[in-house]
Amino acid sequence: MTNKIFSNNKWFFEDDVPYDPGTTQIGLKIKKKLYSGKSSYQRIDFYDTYAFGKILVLDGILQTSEKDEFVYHEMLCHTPLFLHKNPKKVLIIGGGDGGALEETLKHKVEEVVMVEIDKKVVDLSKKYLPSISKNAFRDKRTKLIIGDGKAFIEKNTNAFDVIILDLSDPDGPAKELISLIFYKNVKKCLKKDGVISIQSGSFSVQPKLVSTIYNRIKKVFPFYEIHKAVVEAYQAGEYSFTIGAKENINKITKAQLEKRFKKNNLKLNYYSPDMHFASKVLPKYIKDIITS
Amino acid sequence: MALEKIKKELWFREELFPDVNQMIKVSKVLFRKKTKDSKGKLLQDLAILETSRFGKMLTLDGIVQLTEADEKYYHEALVHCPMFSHPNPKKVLIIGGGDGGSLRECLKHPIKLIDLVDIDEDVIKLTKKYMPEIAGSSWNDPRLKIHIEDGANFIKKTKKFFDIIIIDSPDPIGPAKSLFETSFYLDCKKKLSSSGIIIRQTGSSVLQPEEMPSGFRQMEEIFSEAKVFITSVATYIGGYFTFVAGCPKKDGLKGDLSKINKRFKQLKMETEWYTPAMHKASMVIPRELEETLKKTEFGKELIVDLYDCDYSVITSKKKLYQFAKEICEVIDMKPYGEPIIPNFGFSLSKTAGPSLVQLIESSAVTAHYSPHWQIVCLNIFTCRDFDPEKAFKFSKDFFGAQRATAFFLKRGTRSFDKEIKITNVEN
Repeated sequence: MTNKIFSNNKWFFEDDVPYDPGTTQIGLKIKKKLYSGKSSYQRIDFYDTYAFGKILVLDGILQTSEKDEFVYHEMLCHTPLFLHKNPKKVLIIGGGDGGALEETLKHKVEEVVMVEIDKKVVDLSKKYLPSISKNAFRDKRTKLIIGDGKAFIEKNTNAFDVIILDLSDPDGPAKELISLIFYKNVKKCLKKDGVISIQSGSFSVQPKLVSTIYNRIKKVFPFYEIHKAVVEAYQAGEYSFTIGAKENINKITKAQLEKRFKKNNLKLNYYSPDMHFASKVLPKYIKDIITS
Repeated sequence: MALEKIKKELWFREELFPDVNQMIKVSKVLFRKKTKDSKGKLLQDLAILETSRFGKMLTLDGIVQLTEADEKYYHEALVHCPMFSHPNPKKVLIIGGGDGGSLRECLKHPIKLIDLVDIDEDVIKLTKKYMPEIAGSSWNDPRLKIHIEDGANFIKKTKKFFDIIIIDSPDPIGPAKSLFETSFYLDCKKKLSSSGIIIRQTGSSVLQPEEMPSGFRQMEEIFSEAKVFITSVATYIGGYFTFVAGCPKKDGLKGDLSKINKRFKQLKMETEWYTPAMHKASMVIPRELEETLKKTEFGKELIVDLYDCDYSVITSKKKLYQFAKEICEVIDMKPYGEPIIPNFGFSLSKTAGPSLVQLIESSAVTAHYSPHWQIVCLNIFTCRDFDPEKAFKFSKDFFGAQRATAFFLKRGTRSFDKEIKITNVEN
């Protein structure tokens, strides 16, 4: 479904999506169209925009922007990585732009396995969005597998400290990756003190999706929490990140997080131990979304 | 304001940002009018629109002011953060806020008096009529006094003192411009009780990145304490929506969570966004923003001393004129008028010689030449960014200096020490 109403060669507008039939649209003025094509899985576009720099668009939906990818990737990765006391082996499913990989490699990890289904997204992101992945794909600790994340998870047991699901909306290739069975397999794939982190959509635009993912994680994992952050390029108010854990993460104090944070000596632009806790505090209208 | 008919559908297009447009589908135009003040001066283009996504929506000069769906996330933050930071607010002033949203939230507290000042009577009348859901019966509260005038005039004239002043203004264009000026905040400070709190909006964190750090610095210079609060309002596009509060009392904005919790419970307040925990969480801001608060600077200065310069160059008025022109190009600044290059200072041998002043549109290039010592003392000061290495190299080469030293510092940051960068070059 291409939104042909507003989009033209000067303005980029996202396509209409089933969960939000066109009642509001944010347009980004285009400096240059960089790439437009198709892979076996999806339509892929890259634009250079004035306000958000270069952006990656899959099937008409904005995935990442140079300007504020750090908000999304820092929240998605550092939240689970700091909740784990010593993450060594990490699995990323999706994340073809390399942003999650880059953030994860900032930790003292031994190996990061990234399973992305669409090789073309990886290759094109390396070419058009090098500032997002930086050197991540060349890092010795990186193991890139082009393949089906679902099958990979099913095959591996007790293998990872942290699993990060950096997936596009569940209409395209990521459809089966929000099911209860899939989350149960993720739990098996995690070691006994493992943590999972999921991009779980926008509270404002996709309340049903957020609620579905959160409540499934709640069913599968004994410990869970949800974090919020405004990722402006997603044009959708507060965005959600759902965390599931096999061991008690509720007991972790700010002092402990600060110690881990200092030990890693990271220079970040969004995440901080203070923000970790502040992003867990939800206004009533958001609490209502996930409890309904 | 742009209302566009696209394929038989009516859309509102917000063009506050030239590179990012917000489109909202409109099911009905409820009211539209160009408003005027009491003297007949044109104020603003007011529209009340019915939208399928956000309910009723008020726009002024083509910019979204509030929608039924998300106005609470703005008004609750703007009002309850200062009200709960204050130990016992009794007298409140709202400047702007003709839609009544802030008024409604203030009246949830046991206050004694509330003054509301809006320049545009039509905003009050029309939102009362077309959007009664926003403030409803709040308008009939006996504690309320409404003033139709410019907030900056009101604060100058009033003999009252306030515990809380809420600046509920639109963007700094149009009639609200005076509510962003330093003189206005200095006047507000005079009318604030000793532990009083003032709060104002400072725009969106991503698309108006300079508003908040600049507004914060302005408040920090005026008040003993300034703090940032953030909220998220979907129709205020551009990242987090930010507020800066100021207080004449040190630590007056600290907010003791247990005390706030107690009061919140006592008042049995019903809110959609605000809770004491959200109050504290909204004071935690992204690291990137935190950094910009620390680093507010007015400008940059490059200080260069050039030694063993080419005598024929530093004594040639023609060459100095040429330097003034070319250095502006090198640092990409626009000269303001012609350079002044007088020859004076003959009372001392070392000072005798030409000096140069070239004003530029963001500050100045000045230089003092001492033919006696064959040195040039050069200063380049601008409030815009420039490449100091390039300017340094160009100047050194231009005057044929054999040795040179340079300092590059940020100005208006309150501290020089950490920012100094020293270059020592000897040929």
